[in-house]
Amino acid sequence: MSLRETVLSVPPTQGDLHSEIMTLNMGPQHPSTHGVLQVRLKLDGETVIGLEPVVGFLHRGKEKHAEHLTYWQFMPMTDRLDYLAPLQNEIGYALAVEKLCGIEVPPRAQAIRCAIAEAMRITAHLVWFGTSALEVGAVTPFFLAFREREDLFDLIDELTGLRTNSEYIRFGGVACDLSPDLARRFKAFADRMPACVDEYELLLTGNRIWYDRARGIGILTPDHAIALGLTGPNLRAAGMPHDLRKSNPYSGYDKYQFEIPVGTVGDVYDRYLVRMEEMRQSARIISQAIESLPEGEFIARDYRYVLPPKDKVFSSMEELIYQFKIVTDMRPPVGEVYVGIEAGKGELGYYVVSDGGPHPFRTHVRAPSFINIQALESVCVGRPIADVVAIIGSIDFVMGECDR
Amino acid sequence: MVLVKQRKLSLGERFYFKTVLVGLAYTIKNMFKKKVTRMYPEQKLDPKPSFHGVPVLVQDKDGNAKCVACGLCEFVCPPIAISITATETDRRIERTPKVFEIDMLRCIECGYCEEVCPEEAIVMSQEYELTGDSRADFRWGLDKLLVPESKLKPRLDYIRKMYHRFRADPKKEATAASVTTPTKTSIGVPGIKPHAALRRYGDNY
Repeated sequence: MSLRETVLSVPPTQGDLHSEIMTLNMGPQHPSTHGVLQVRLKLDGETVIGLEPVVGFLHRGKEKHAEHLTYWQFMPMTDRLDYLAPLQNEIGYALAVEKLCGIEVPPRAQAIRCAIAEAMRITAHLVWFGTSALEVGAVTPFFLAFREREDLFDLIDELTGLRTNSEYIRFGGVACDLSPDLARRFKAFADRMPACVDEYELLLTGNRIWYDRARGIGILTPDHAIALGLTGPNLRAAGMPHDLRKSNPYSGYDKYQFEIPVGTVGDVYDRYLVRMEEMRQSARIISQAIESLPEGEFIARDYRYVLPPKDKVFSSMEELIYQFKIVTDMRPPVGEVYVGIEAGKGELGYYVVSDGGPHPFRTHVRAPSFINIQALESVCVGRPIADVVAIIGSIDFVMGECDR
Repeated sequence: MVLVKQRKLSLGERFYFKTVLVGLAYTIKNMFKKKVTRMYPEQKLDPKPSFHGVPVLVQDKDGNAKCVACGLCEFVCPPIAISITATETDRRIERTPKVFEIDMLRCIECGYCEEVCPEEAIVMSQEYELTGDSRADFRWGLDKLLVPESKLKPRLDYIRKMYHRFRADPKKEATAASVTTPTKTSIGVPGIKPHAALRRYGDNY
């Protein structure tokens, strides 16, 4: 038994050793920093005996805001939820509205969406990898992760015109076509990515400091994870092979070959390994999607909800009227839909209710970050305070999405 | 499904020996690699035609704005950055904006204004460096927004390709064109039930 395990095996309130209970506030930091989360810890010496996450510092009322915007106008707002994987949010919202309206997305647009969504998963996991390693003291991974992230965002920038928060997804497809040159570069990136992941693993997987800080800490059992409503890598690391891309394929994910990495223990180290493997699998999907990119249109030929071609707008009255009509008065049929997609942090769901008017009656976002934060208390209690940092890092949440 | 296995550390790793060597070797290897960072203010970005800079108005050869102040961009703008006041002139296209203001502090450069514009009058420029001393500096009026058409040529060429949709199949293109001509039986796309909002216009729409 190592010294560390000996220390941990002593129950926190054994005999007369326990001290006065102290309340400690971790955070919030300045609003312009990334995660503005306050964690109120109750401490008995070094041991956490109570934990309360305080959320809402980044609340911007996006769901309420949606009720005052048209369906079109809410699309850029979804980017601002999980700003580490903005295009995945857009895809989720677009799928929900497309289901509501009954728009059929052409195969080429679906393949482009898949490639982009997986690229976003990689960037989200890269930021997670960099920052969570930084939180336990490893500085190098942060720079490595951001090197690849920038390469990917350069490609996204060239495709969409904006680095992050790129308004690229439209109802019925995507805003512009993926050029062959850019497709080739996406493919080259996807082929390079597994080697990069190996490079990260070289520095961290066998590193004893990381190994000791991560192993056996913050264990989530499958039952517990399901009871908390966890999804995504956190649930998979706990041993549940649940992935919406496999169990409920959307956007043509059933066409691609990929594996779901599943953990065995459910600790911080497993969550790390699962995300590392997911990056490799995402690179595989990008590669397949680009290789088998179908010919055809990149946006549906559905004149009810898709803007007409621009050259016709200049010349034909009919298209001009449609242009104005779709922009100002796009009215999906009365109804309600829920669409969940597998985002980088878990199941990202959009629930849209339409009363037949140009604005959604209600929009709700099932934000995986908000649900992931719930797991903090149960995994941190009974652990020393230093582990709280490692666990918060491993759970992976973005406050922009949590507070909305 | 693939199980990720937690492996045991080797002897070298347990005594930090291998970790230190690997780390040092990695550092030394990277010292001789090409740098990936850019010294930004000295080395500027090279924006591609697809780049979304700040939106500007297109100025035609006579020095007038192409904009006809229809207000569609003002309507669609998600952060409510655009405000337009229209006026009339004696020119052939008689409608023109008297005031066209974009609050660059609000603008998120989403490009919706450009996409909906029925006159190709507002486009995203290559400009991305905005500075100012006060909030008023960021409320760009017509004087700052108007840019000659010749300067915006790369972007205009790009969006003509980009928004010219449905070009993949010319045969279908022809059918779609025939569909949009008003006939007594069809509204919208054949095979798809017309939307309620259109049905209220009746069959003769």
